[in-house]
Amino acid sequence: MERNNILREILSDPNLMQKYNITESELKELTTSAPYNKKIVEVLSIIINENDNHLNSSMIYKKIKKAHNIG
Amino acid sequence: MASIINSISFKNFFNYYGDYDTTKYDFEEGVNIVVADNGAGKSKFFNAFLWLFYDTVLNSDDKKTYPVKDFAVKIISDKAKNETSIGESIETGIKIEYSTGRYKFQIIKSFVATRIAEKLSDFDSWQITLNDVEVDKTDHVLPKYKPIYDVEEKYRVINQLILPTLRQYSFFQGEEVDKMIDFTKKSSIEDAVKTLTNISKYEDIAKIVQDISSKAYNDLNKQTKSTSDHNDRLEKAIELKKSLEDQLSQEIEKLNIQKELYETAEQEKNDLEQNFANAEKRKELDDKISQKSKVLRGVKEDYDNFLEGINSRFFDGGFSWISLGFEQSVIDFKNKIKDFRQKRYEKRALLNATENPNDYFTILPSDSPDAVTLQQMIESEHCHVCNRPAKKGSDAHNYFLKLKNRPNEANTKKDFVKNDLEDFFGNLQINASPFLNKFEAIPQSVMRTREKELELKKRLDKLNSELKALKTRRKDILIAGTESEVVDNTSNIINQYKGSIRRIEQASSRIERLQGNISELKTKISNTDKEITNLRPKDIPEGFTINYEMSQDLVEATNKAQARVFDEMVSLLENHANNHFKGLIKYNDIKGGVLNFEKTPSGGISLDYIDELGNEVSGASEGFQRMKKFAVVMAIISANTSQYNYPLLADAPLSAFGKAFNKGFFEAIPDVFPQSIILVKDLYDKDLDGKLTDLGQALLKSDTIKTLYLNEVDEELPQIERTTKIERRK
Repeated sequence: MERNNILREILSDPNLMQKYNITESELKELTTSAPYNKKIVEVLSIIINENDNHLNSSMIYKKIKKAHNIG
Repeated sequence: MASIINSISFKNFFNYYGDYDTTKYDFEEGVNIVVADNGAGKSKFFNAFLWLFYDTVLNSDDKKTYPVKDFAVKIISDKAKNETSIGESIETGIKIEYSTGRYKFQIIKSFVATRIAEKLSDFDSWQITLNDVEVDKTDHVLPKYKPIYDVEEKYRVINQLILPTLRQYSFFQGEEVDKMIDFTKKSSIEDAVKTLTNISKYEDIAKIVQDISSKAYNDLNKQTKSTSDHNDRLEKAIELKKSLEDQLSQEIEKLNIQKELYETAEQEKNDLEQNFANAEKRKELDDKISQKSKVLRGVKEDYDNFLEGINSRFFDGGFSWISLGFEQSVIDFKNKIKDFRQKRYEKRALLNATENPNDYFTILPSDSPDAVTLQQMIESEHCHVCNRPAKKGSDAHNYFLKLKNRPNEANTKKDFVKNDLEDFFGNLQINASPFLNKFEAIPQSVMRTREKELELKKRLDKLNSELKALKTRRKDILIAGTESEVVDNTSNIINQYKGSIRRIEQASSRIERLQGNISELKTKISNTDKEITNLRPKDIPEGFTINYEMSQDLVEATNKAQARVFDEMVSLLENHANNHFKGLIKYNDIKGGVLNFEKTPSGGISLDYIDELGNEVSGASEGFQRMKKFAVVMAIISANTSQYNYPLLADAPLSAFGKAFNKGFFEAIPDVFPQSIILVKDLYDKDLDGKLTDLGQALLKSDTIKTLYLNEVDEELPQIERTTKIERRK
């Protein structure tokens, strides 16, 4: 619950919503669990989840790179 | 699920004499109250939890905590100690049962004491062995306790009752409420907010995305270099961005320094404000004290003179107090002096006449010869009475002559007694005469004097008590440094205070300027970044570009979210705190102010106590101050999005603050704490039949109060006989 709220809170920035085409109704339903409809949701979810798993930023970055297929 | 304490029981623990089953409190979800007078087990009850959480107990004599092992002899009930012979052992312990949704736990902490010497309370008379903490677990479906053996698991169970980080908000004694939130320290509220909310999560995420963004930028640049030919413009743009970023980080560093300076200066100002205000108040009081002392000295002098003057009023003819009660004595004196004179005269006459009759009588005594015969006897030198010769010059012949000449010698009278007291009594009469006409006026004069004395005494007492009150007020005003340093400190304080304000202003304007610079640099960086994006070769794998762009967007969005959540939290805290505050003080006649939370330029939270017009309220009573702090603590807990899952355990949280605060408190706490166990003496009145005050009786009927216990100790009994009697009233 808390993770989802953090995800929604960060993504609720209007510029971001517009740029990544996130609608209000979509925002309300967002969760940090896979599957993800949008890359930005996936990236932020990785950060939120793995921070809770006490991974450091380098380890988290590796996972993000994989998500972008550049790792 | 919330942790709910089901019961606590004691075994020979202080005055809780007896086994676990005889000294047991059962509790329920909601508000539970234990009412006890001083010395009837409140602090001992609280000590049980200190033992549970920290293996210590608080010694009420010196207000210090001691490890249970070192203090064990004092922990054992005196009655139990007294009943233990040398060589025998006795067990002392606490047992707590609590449940969390599905499971129920039982924790026992105990020790065994063996008596080895006679002296009961001597630490050397007992050998102490601490037992291992016993933790048992059961579920509600099949309630049968099974022991937990793993030490870590045991401590996890104990900590789960109230998490160590939250104990300061959930487990405290009265005056500790004051320390929970230190309004003079801005970081205190922030710490509390951080402990109880998820704001720190946003901080963590902001750091991570920032780090990821720079990693993504480096990766992208690496790709750029490996996939493109030499491009001057791009290289320059990247260098420019790097230089701008360096400037930015320098400016951010400067900003942080300024924020720190601001914080320090503000903290100093707050500390000094208190001292400065105190110094002023103290000066004002000193002036009053000096003036009052002068008046007092004058009145005291008057009083002393007056008392000294009272003595002279006894002998002063104007007052004649000495003669009070001697009214009858005057008549007595007159009568007695009359008698005295009469009797004296008589005695004198009789005595002289007997001794020298010739001095007093002009006629001849009986059987004396007549004058003619006497003349013949002189001439013939012969006594015809006794017929004997009486030659001239003989005694007999001389006697004839004496008899014959007696009338002529009568004027040579002799004194009756040498000291005839005539002068003494005469003087008494003369000296007493001024007093004689004062009798009637004396009672009135005494009365007036007494009135005057009382008036002076009253004035003196009044001045003394006023002076004492002023001195107490003065003593209560704490100020840095010792008493003698105060005067010297005052000017220092004023200078430091002014200095801190100057530094706040300086830091504030620098923060503003730096924020402007930072914003400008960020714009420049953003523009340069756009330029770099345009200049980048098109053959870089898309993932690198998206990775960087997305991480950049997330940095901005996370920072904004963090600020938004913080602002929302502050406003939420403000609403919650004011609601709780209203609830806590609603039965108080004095109108309370409003709690106002604000963000400081350094990014902290400041809390002001203002009236409806926005003016700061000062001089609120201690009760209000504590309620204010408690309201903020309650707000920090209730404003948290997740439910607070721990009980409130408070010993005398509102001691001596009055009925209104107590009433508000008991009504407000269930909104925040799933369970509360409150130890109070304010509801106790030994002179009433039910031993409970009006409020105690009302709470007994209230639905919010789930259990109410009354502790009593027979104070008449000697210490070795005393036990705490627990009576469940609800």
